Amino acid sequence: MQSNFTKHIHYGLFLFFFSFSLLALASTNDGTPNGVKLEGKVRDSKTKEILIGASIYVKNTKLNTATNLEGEFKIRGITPGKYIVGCNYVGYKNQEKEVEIKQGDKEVEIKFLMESTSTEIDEISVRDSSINKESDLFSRKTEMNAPSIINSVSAKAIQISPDLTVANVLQRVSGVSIERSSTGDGQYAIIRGMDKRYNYTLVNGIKIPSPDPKNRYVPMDIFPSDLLERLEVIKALTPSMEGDAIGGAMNMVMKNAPDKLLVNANVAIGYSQLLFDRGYNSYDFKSSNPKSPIEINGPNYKPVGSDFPNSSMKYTDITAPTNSMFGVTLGNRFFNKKLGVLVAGSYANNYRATNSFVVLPNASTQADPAPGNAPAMNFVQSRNYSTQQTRIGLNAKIDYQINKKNKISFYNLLVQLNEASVRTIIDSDWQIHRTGPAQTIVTRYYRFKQTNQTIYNGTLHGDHDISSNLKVDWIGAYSVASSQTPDWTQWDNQYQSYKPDSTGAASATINKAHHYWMHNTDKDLSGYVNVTYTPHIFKTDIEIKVGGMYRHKTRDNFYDETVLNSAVASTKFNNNDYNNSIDQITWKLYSNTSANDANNYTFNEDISAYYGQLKFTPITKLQLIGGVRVENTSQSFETAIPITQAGKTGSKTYMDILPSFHLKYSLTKNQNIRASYYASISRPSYYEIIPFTITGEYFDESGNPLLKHTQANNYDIRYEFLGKGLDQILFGVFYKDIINPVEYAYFQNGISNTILKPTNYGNAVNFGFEAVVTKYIGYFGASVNYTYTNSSITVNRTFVTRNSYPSGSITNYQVSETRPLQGQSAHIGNASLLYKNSKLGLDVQLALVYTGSRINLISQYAGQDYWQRAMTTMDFSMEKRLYKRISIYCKIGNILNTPYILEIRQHNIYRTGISALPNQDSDDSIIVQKDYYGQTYLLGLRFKL
Amino acid sequence: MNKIMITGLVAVSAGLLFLNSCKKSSSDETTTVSVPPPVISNPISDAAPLHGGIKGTMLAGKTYTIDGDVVINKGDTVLIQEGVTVNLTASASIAVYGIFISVGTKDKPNKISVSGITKTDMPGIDPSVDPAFSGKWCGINCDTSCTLLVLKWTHIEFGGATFGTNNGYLVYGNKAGSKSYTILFQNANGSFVMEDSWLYGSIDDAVRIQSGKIHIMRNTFEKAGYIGGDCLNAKSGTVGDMAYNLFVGTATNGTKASNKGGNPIQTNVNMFNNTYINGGYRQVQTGRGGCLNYEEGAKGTAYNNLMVNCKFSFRIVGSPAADTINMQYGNNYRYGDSDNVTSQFYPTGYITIPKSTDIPNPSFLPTGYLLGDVYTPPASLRGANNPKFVTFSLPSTTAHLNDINYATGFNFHLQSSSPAIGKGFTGFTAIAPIPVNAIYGATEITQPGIDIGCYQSNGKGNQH
Repeated sequence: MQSNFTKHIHYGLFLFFFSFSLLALASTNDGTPNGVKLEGKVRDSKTKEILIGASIYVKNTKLNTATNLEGEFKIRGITPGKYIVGCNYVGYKNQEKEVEIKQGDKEVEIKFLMESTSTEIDEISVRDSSINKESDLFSRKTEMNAPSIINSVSAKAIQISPDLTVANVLQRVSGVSIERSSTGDGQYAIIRGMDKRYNYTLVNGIKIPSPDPKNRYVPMDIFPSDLLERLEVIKALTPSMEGDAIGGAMNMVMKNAPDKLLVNANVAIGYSQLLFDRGYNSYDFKSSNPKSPIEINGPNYKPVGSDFPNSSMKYTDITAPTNSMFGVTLGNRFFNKKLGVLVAGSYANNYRATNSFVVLPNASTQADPAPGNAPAMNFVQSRNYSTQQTRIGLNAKIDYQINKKNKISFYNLLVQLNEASVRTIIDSDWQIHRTGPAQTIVTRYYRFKQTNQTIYNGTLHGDHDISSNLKVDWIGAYSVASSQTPDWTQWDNQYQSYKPDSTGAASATINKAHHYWMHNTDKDLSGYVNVTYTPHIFKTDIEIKVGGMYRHKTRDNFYDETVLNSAVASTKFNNNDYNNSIDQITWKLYSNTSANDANNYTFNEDISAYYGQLKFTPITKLQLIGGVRVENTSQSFETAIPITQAGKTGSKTYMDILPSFHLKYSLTKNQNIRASYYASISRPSYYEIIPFTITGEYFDESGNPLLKHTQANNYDIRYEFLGKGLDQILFGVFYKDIINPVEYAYFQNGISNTILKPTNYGNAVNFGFEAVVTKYIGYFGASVNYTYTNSSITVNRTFVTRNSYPSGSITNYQVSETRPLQGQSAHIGNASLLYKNSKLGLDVQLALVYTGSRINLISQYAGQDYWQRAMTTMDFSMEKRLYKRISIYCKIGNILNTPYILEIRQHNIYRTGISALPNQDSDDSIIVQKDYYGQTYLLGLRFKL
Repeated sequence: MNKIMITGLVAVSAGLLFLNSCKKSSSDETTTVSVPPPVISNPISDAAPLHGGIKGTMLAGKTYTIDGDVVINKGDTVLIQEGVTVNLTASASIAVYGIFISVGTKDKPNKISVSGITKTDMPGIDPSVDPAFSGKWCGINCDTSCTLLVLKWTHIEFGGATFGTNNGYLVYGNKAGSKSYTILFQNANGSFVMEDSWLYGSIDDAVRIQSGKIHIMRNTFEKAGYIGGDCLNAKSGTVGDMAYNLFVGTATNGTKASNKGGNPIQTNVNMFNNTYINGGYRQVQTGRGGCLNYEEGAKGTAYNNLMVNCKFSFRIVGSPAADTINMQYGNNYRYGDSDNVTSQFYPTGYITIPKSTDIPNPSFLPTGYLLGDVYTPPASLRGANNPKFVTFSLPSTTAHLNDINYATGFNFHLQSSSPAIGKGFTGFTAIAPIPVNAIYGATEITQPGIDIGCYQSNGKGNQH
């Protein structure tokens, strides 16, 4: 592994230097070396901020350039004479200056102080002017000016990054790592080592519900990144924010209406490398019945085999289908700029592949060898995933300036992610003298699954200036998230490779087929009111803010599982054509979930909250914000289980008082020191508090109505430095004291099975530090961030052993084991190298993400957690202006084809002999999963008006 | 069948007495002491169908109908006297949080079944139309709080239905939409006695023991499991005996012991003097077993079992391994009519150690044989060592080896000339975790017998 890794690094470095030497070549060709050099700097006249990428031209000549990352420009080879030098920059008034260059001059310096056009619009519009909000600089300023601790990624940074979904963008943010879905793309964010359950997702500051059937957290891969104005990760909450984030809140600020006509469009095509290598398995997912036979025919209907056609249970092979993307943004302002409109649409259709090697350990563990708890292996699997993802995003915003004092806006977001995937597994029974893939007892599993997830949010927002120092704003929001899984089906067949029949082919038998229909909806109706009073007392500006919110959530879940068996007890196959052999099978009902399954449930939640917050500046350099938030939670559920069972209905209420205090001290104009404290909570997932029980062979799973919500005290200190241009240094430490964290743990269920259930586990502590450094030199920039996190929690684990070795009775007992929180890596980091040449209209970025090892899955047994091995991924992106308004871009994802490896950190007894497992590389760990996703390529054109 | 048996026994008893006298100076004493009849409390009325909570005594000779789930609450007992018939309708289940006792007698057995179904015991019947696999009621489900389940001389038939909307009372582990076991027991400190009873048909496991002290002796099991499922399936925390049982046509294993499930008490099951006929064929998954099986940390002692035309013979699993260091076995008798059967006398991929006391002697295995190796059985093994049942044709005369999955019409007693007679090992004892008691415990703990299989020529063992 080490040598492989080094090889990858070498490969990466080579690629890196190769691309940069090309760029260096390109950038030296900067006019003729003779003549006079004209150089200068461009700044904002008011803020004195440097302006990057401003065009500089010399009138009546072909000479032109653009400012670099430090706002500077150089034009060489000017012959003496009088010239008009002009500068223009989006959002600023054009400026021209007369320059005289005399014989003998070597350098002539010229400075532009640009005036923002937005100052011409009245005062209130300035507040919302969106002109530069998509820029990197705006994001940096946001970080500096924010009342609490945030990190921000601009639309511009997203555009030139290799990332197409918000989840993937998140991994670039300091302190954030991602959890991947089976396609290898990011799906959930882990913020400062805090699992996804401890974070929430906002759209324009409004919390949105999740399409997940059981949980609150929102899959972040559903959001196309090109709809964003910027992405904020808020790591300390102020009283005006909802209080249920311990890791942090992710706020997607969506594109706003522009000040003048805006037309952007982009179109791209792409490929996935693995699909060249092994083809794509496509299935007819459109033929799946959207409703289950029980939904169609009523709850008392007894399904029959013919209700489940075989057409959606087999696949055909396609070679490397083309990925496509399309996006358009239109915006303008009408009626004397009073009415702003923005509509953005995004469509992407991607084919993804994953090749996975999996060793399935037996869920039991062995007492031998001493001292016990030795993992036992069962099956070796080779899994191929073929996934089609269709992602649609629609973003529409209208704002209307009623008059100088009143403004109203209406915002709509619709995002949809439809996934259709085929998973094939070739499984061989490892314990039977396995000699290679598809040997011994071989089971071929076929899974056909489509999931359609949608989130809609509509927000009506009003701002009213009652008087010069009293403002009221309100929000009414309706959000709905839903997920549909129509006819997820899987079936399998099995044969013994060592028992070929007379024709030499093994004859296989059919096991059962499963069909699932699931759908769930989560609806939020919420209202927010904030009143801001800003008196000027004792020569200081004081801001007093009070407000409240109320949200009513209703959630329902539908679940239907049908199990079929082959109508003939054993079916033989010919020609080893296992996929098409499905046509030979007729099915018979084996069992189906009845309508009184606990997976059918409704859940209501009412949150009412109010807060008071005071912001003031006792001395010029010191800003204080403090206050308290009160959140009332009232929950109730009802499941479809009969009234004769415990836990059909239930409810929970609690109140939290959440104080917070944030201090910002400005050492200099561009340096801050912050300190903050906030109290926050995390509410358990909906399904976790429902007392269902699912019996398993090895352990049972159950909900836990006694589960308490998690509370936390969070402390932060951060130093911020914003240098010239985009240069930045952030350094922060954090400490979290977590009360009643929710962990999945195993219990002895009285005198029968072991039971897995979510449980509160005393207290946990999580602390660490973050550092961000960004530095630009000329056209080159480097940005590095690093986060160290240390958390620990002590939980019960099972230890299987003997009373005495070698032949005492096998027994087990619970031991307490201390480990990091699930998903927390000690070390995570990002490094990107950027090249930004505005004159050439060229942006290049090479981005590395390092995710340190972390616990991926918690085991029932001590010492047998699945650890995700540390991994480094590298992505590349590049954008080049072709013509004034058209640029070409390309993105290459996962250049190193980094494997995703899960391992058990135990002495590896499976390296030699007949029990040797494939793909092992260490005596000290057992690799149980190794996934490859392959590279992805995307080539596109962007048009900008 | 009994008359034939007695005739057979009379013929060989003299010889046996002689054989026995080599070891013992006289025959076993037979003692009979009268037992006071149980005091009848709370007689249960048969006037109306039962559903909901029940407790008390079902009176001898009566017929009861259960038309919806019945519940025996914690602290309550239901005792069924001899000669009682209980008919279940509407996929009902019997949920036992307290104590459930059915004490039939040899002359007046009890019956817990459904009415109006005719058994289709014919060779080669398609299992998908056999009512044995149709699951008509949801079984006897003991909660973790049930301390005692006793079934003596009781017929239990046609269980295994899916828990559905009618099933309001689900004990721990029962799940709507899942197949029921015909009997579920799950209390490591509780006792489960099943003696001299009959179980006919099931869908999944016929008897699932999540944990418990068990005494399962001298029963007849037919047609257990539809396309999977074991007959007696014991998980961690199970301690006791499975002996002198007759299994015919089980989907997978007849007797299975595993330490899976996490109970700190290790599964320890002695399996001896059982007879397994035509087991393992309906299981659609490959390589699963067909008669007796130890896996995942279970231990026990297994001698004197007779396996006839089972798809897989005695199976000991190597990963996760049975507690092989604490296992003793031998004197197990295998018979097969095809190479497919004889090639699995020591099943491929598992770690059953061939013993020199086994019949046939494992010398037919190739030199260099490693545990679990694929081997080519000699043709001479086919049909060798015919155990000579009183009424059951061997070599098989049916089209397929799995065509007969019922006992009716056959007599699996050994003829006096059977090579299985006298080949057993008796140098160990039953675990016997449950004391002897005519009602609340084991009636008889039958110690290992000298004849292979469940019928003993001295009249001991299975009484059916």
